[in-house]
Amino acid sequence: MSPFTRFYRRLKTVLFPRTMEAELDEEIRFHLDMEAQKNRGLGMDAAVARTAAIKEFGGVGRTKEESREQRGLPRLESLMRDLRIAARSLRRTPGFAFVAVLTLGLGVGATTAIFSVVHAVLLDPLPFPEPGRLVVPQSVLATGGDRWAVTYRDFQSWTQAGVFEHAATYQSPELDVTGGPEPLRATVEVVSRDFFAVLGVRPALGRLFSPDDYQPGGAVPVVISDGFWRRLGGTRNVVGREVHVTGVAGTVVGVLAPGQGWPNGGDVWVPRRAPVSSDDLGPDNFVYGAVARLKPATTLDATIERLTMLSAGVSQEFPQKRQDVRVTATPFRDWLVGPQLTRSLWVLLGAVGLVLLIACVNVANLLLARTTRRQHELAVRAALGASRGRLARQLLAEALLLAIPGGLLGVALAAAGTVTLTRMAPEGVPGIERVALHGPVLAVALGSTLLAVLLAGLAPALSGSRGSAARALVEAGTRTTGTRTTQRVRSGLVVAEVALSLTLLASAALLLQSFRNLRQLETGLDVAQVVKFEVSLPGATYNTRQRKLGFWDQLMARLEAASGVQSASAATAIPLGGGGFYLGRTMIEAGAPEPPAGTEVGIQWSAVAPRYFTTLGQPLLAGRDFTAQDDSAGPQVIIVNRAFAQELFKGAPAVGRRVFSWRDERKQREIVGVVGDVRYSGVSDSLRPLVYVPLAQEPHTSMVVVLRGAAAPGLLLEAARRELAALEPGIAMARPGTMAQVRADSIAQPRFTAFLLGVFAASAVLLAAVGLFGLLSYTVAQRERELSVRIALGASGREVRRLVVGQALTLAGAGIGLGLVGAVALTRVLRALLFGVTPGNPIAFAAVSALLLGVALAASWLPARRAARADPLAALRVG
Amino acid sequence: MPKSPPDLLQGTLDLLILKTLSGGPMHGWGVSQRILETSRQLLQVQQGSLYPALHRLEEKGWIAAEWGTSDNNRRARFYRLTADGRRQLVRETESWRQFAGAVHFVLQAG
Repeated sequence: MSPFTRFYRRLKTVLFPRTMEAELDEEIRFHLDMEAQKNRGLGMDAAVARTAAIKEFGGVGRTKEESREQRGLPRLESLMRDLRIAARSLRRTPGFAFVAVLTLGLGVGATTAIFSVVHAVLLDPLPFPEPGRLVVPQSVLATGGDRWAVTYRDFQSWTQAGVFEHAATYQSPELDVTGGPEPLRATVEVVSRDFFAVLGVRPALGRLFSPDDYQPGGAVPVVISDGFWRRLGGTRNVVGREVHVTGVAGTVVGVLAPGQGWPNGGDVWVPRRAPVSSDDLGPDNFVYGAVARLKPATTLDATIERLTMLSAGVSQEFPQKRQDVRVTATPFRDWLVGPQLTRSLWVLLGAVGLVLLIACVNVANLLLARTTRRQHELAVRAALGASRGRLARQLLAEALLLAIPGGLLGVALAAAGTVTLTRMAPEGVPGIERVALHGPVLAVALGSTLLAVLLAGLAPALSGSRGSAARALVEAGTRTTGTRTTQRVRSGLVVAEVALSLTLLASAALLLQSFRNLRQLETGLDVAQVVKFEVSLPGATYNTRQRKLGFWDQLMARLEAASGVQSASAATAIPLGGGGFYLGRTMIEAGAPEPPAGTEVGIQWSAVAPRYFTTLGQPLLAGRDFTAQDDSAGPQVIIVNRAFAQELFKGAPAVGRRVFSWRDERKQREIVGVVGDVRYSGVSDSLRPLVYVPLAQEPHTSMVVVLRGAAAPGLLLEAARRELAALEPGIAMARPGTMAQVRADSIAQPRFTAFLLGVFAASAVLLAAVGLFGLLSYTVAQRERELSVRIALGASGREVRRLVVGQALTLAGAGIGLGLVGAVALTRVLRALLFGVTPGNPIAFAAVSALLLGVALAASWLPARRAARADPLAALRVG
Repeated sequence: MPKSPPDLLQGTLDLLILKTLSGGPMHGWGVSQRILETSRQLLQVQQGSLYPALHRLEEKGWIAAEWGTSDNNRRARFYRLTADGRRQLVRETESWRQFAGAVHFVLQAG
């Protein structure tokens, strides 16, 4: 027979199993008839002859099975048969199938959804050629710690030394861009020569910058992001269009492709044309963002080594100004995503993996319970000639049959989950817009489903196919104890479930506690009834002190006159990361020795308009607020916060002392007031020394305006928009919002993590409860006879109940013990995500242990009641 | 009870079937009866292994099967030797002889 005809024949047996079965039946029937006929010929009567023939033949079923395996495509065929049988047996127990599919679906769905985010944010390659070679050079103290921007001098040192293939600087002011019907606030990236070469991007429309574009003179060439292009109307003829960037005339020359607007959130790119000034060359003027591309053959470590050496050289030149500063490089992705978010995402993925594991354990447990209940059926099948492997395959087929709808449900849930996650995700998660259910993510869904089949199906398959058919028949017949091993395996699984849920629950408890700490943290402000927005004046028009101050004075006067407004003010930067830029400086007391002999205080500096502290509700602790007299004509004054006073004067009164920024302006200023501390970059930030100067003495063009008023925030902002437009039509009101929202946003990421982990932990506990309940119900059903004997012998219902509850507590106790060990180990990973909570927090651990014990008690309630109702007569009736 | 027949060596059954069918087409029961007769009632084919063996040989292409009518006018599945099967019979007979001879020598060596 040619291989082809053979395959065709085999396929036929698979496709038309009934025909083939009928033929096999007929053949065997014929054989038996002939045998019976022969026996009759030997003198037996018809019935005896037939029985003898059947006996002679041996196991008809086994013969058929073995014959079948000689034909057809045995594997495929028997798989299909297994699936058919499994489907039949699952149809008989729809409740079981429903719970199992739901459990698997939840596990797979949650895992897939979280993985889709992890993939988009952490794994998917960035949309640049060879993104692995992109790095961000940053300043760092030789002793480590926070990283910050670099100086132009450092940038020059590494470009001259040829450390990178390409390197560029950028600065990202927020400016108004006009060119459309109304002014648009844009993040303008002022970039140095090689910027686009570093990234390796190509324009979607038009061109990028040529070397000539960096020469002064003529209209400024402007490259815009895909998003900004859409804001401008999204037409192809945008190239060549006139725009004004904060009053300076420019021409759009190119549009970038979606996703290539870098740094994250950049709208508009202009070439840096200003010549390098002496100010730029200040060795401690850390105001440049940098990005670079590693040389093809070098490693990150080797590059960092060279950067460290070069920057140490610069630092040695200026020991007083930057003794300990070094330059290092961070891989682009790490810099983009940040350690906190990276850690949160991995923790969430780990947590959701645990949930999947618990779901698998639960389904395994359900299947195992079924297997035990079906011991009799399995024994009969074994006796009829099913081999061990066949039975195991059969049980795996059941798991597979549950996994297919489970996996599909999982993908559906994941689809919904990704939508919810992207909506819920805190602001500024880079790459979140790329979250989707595509190849790699679906592969994970498939993988986790298959894993679930293996994990959930293996235990029952192994235990169900074990042992001799005869023993199983006997055991299944008497139905007293069930198989002890199965019982042990099931108890082990429940213990594992409890342990895993405890681990999750403990982690969630710590994160929730930490989030609560954050939320209850004093911000030092009264954020209710305060709204904010940003305003940036074109530097070309507002180029004198008079003009700047005049504008702000008029704006404040107009705003305070608007209905519903109690007070209005403005600052170059507001607390909680609500907008604007603080200037980092270091100050010493006038007359004190300069460092290293004396002490300096690193401060964040902002200029504020009148009534700033009143508007934000920041309390004045000593001295006075700024007055109208604190203008350019008056003495130079500042207000400091408590942290500043504490650090520099160690508790001695600060008001009346004179301090100065000794590294740069060296202008002495008198402290006239001390205000309360505020969180400067976000709720979880530490309390840093802050210095406020009157705007009248330090006028600026970009301010964050704050308004306090009893009216609804929307109305306040609308009124403000009207006043702003009336005063200066070409100016955008940027980033309007409420301070309450700013506060909430600054803890959005911990809230997101804590919330999701809480959901996962709750699902884990629920699954563990289902598992425990299932096991106990099953045990009670199995021990019904024993229990009824106990009751017949005088055991009270209470004692019987205690027996069942005792079992529950033993299992839960073991799980909790194991889980605590796991939790102590695992929560160490969380350390960096916690605020005001220690990882080994005994109270949290005690609380979640108690909670799980409570859940165990609840899960044992119904089974215990059923046990106590065991009928004593049943003991007598059964022979 | 008759003395239980010796177990057939793995592969021997195939040889017996091929040999039996070399006499002409036959149905399964016929094959088993024929082996019983020609072995002077010594070799009783385990019926349970007969049909799997027949199907296995059919699968290998050494025998072919088709539905026909039996002596007593019933539909039955008849097996016949194919050309391949005939060649296989020669090969197997040869190797069986060698094997039997080898066993004989070993037993003689006692």
